[in-house]
Amino acid sequence: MKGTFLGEFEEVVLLATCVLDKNAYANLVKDEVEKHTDRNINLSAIHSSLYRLEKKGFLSSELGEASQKRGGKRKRIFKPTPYGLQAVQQIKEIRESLWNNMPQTLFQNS
Amino acid sequence: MQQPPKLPLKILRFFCAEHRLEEIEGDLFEEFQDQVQSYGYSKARRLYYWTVIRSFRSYLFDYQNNSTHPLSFITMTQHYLKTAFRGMYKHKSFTAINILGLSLGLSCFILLSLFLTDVILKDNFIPNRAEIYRLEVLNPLDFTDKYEARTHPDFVVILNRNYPQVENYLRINALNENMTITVKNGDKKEFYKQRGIEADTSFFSFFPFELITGNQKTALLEKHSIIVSESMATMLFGDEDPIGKMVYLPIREGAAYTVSGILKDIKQNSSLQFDYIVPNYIPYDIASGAYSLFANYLMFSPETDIKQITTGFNNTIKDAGAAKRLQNLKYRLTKFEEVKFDIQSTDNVVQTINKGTVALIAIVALLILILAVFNYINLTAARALQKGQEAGIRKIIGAGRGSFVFQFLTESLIFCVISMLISLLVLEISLPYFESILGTSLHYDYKSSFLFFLIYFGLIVLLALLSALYPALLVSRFRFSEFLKGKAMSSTKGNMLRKGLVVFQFSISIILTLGAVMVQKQLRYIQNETLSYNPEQILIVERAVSSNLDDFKKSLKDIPEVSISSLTSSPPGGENLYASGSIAELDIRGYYHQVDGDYINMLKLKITEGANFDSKLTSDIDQGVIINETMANIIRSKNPMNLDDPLSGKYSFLGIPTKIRGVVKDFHIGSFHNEIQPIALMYHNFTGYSGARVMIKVSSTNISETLAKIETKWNEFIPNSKFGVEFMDAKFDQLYTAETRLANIFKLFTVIALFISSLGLLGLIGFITESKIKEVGIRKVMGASVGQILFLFTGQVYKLILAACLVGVPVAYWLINRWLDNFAYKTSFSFDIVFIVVLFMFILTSLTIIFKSAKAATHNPVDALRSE
Repeated sequence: MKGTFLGEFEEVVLLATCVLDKNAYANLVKDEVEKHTDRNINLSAIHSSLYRLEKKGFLSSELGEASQKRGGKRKRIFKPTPYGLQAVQQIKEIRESLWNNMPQTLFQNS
Repeated sequence: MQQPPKLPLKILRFFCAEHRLEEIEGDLFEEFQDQVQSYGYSKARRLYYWTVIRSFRSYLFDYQNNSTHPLSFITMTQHYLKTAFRGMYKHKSFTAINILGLSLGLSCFILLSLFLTDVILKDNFIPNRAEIYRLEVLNPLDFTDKYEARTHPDFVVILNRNYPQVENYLRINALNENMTITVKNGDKKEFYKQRGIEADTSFFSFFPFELITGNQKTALLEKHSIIVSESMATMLFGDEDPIGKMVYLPIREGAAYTVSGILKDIKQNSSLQFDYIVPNYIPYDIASGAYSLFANYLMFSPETDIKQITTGFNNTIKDAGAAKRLQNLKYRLTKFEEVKFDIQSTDNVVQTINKGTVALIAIVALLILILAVFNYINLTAARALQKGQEAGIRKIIGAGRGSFVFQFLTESLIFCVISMLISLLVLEISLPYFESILGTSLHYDYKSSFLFFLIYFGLIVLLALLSALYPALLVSRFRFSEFLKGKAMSSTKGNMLRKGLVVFQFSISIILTLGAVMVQKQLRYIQNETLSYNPEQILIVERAVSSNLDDFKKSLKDIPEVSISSLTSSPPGGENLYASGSIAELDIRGYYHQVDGDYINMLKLKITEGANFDSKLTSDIDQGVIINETMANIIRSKNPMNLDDPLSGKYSFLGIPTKIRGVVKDFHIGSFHNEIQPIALMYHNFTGYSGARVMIKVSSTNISETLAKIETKWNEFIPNSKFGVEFMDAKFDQLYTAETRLANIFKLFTVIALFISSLGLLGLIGFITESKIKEVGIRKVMGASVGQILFLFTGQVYKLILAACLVGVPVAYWLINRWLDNFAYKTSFSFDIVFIVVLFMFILTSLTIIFKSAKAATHNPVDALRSE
């Protein structure tokens, strides 16, 4: 089906959302991704990915509570859908099966 | 707590979709607080700006369907575009008809507009053009009300001396184009012909044509200097430096002129066209009654009251000691900007444009545009009703009038922009062809003109707006239930207007067709019907001055292909005049032509009274004159000497009392625009040193061989002049180039107009047949024949065409008669032509209808009826 493809950055964002477990909103996702990838990321890139993942059906969202730190604005909390969980799992399996077949000699010399 | 900067926040709030704004703003706020803590306020501020800028991504514009955001129309536009393209694709023939008609109409309009722009922008490069005036005079003794544009050249000098408002003066005169220019190349002489003018040294302060070498102020100071154009210099001297070279002209006793400057070739946008300039030579002053004619231009200081100033001219000229016949003249000043449109009073330097023709072209351009637009509106409206169910559903969902306008506007814009692009392509391809029809090349460089594209695009948008408005209003007038029941298609709402548009279209087509036919008829009339001789067979050798002219003529008898030849000052086919002057007894102006004994036989002129010239009599006076019927009638009616036979008296032709030898039937010597003048043919034997043109009648089919023989003879007898020859019919055609061009333009655009109208009809019939498909089905089931079904459609359209004829024919009649008034000799507007054109219209429409509705008529009625 068209539009279900997961890009590299999207995959990272999706995984970070899973890791944050029911607390994931844009700022936290950004911190999480930056921490693990050691990259500097603009908030808008995170927004873009989150909304796209939601459109593709990997994520669902609802509005959370407002806080003073947010200037009294509510936040949108994202959580993976079963389809999203299935997708990350599938990716992991594909990678693992590939790693299992990796020739041992390849990494010994380096 | 620090507040983020206001400006980016405002921008974000404006653009962001409503349902996303709260969370995004919150996220940004939170990040800003974090960054203030880690980097400090100013860097956080910068980062905030940056993040807002980076946020302009698709999610920001993800407006929801019920959004009231001002930018939410983007979503709707996407939707409209999608449905519009789907519709275009589904109804391919309709789309093709619509785009074809519109782009064709636009191409014609743009093409003609470009040429009109050229006319309007003509002479714009002359900075002082608003202050330049031409002095024109009218001599009340001259029996005419036509002001003379060329006069005594000393007037302007006196005016310049006496009036402080006059800043400068300029006298110019075109030299004979056929004059032979000689260049010596070693021992060899080379002959050329170019367009030359003579002018005062002030020429360049009036008309600042660019000099490549030479000084505008000094190049004409030396009496025997000449400025030549770049291309003339190359023609005369090849690659050598022309400055200082000698050019020999047969004026002022055959003087040698030294090249003192090189003129950049004159561009098309100038009313003055010439290849070389020599300085004026004016050896007489105002006291001399004999003079040669010059075009006289004056430059006034900007605040001069032009109307007032001419009143004193008469006294000023008289006080300066003017010759008697130069006193008591009427003076007029014509703006330089209007001089080019004045076809009545002309000088021989400024090229004139017929304002009537320009207006006619503008009208044709406008008519074609209107035709195309009406066509488009009509088809679009028909289409809009056809897809009534779609509109019905839109209405149910809540579409209002505005949204319909917007939908149709989007569609219109697509059509119009596509047509615009196609029309630009057509323009590019057809321009050279069109230039050859018009006989001029386009100077205005539209491709590099931003303004042109801006105006054109503006026009397109305006067009789209206008053509979207009508169908939108029409559709929004229906209730949705009417649409869903399929009533809209067969409704009579808007029918009147649609029919009106068709009537209008066909009226225009009829006017153009009649125009084309009548212009053609008049041209044929001019070319064929009134000349007594066959101009195709007669050669005219250009004027030469020699004492061997008669010997040359006699030697032509040796060539078997030459049947007869004649020497004359005035071969027919141009304004060649030997002299004109008033005949004292008759109180009229007479026109004189020098002819030899063969002139009358050659042109097969019919002598109604008296006899032809007798070549045995050598004295010109003894021969008397032969007058034309116009002159004879004047003499008879005035009969100043009260004679029994007025023609037996002697009258002062050219100032000398001369008897009348004979009368010839009126014949055309010049343009059909002018009435035949009272003419006297005067005998001259051309044996001494004299100037004349030679007419040669050839009977051969091998023209080039005959021409070579004639040229050999010419070089033998008249070696100092270039042999130039032209057929008389070509010379006559030159008199009517404007009319020939007009005829060509009319032909072309009539075909296009007919094509567009037929396209419109085709589309409309298509619409009618589709909306009547069930009616046709039922009629067929009841036993109607194919013919009867066709009549159902044709009957309606015939009524429209008939109405169009009733409108178009009188308008055409009026317009064409006004155009024909330009001619002294003209055909009449005959009703057999009207009949043929109307019949042609009916046949054309019938074919169109049959082409389109035959399918509906022969269709199996089951297919039409089973859907309900």
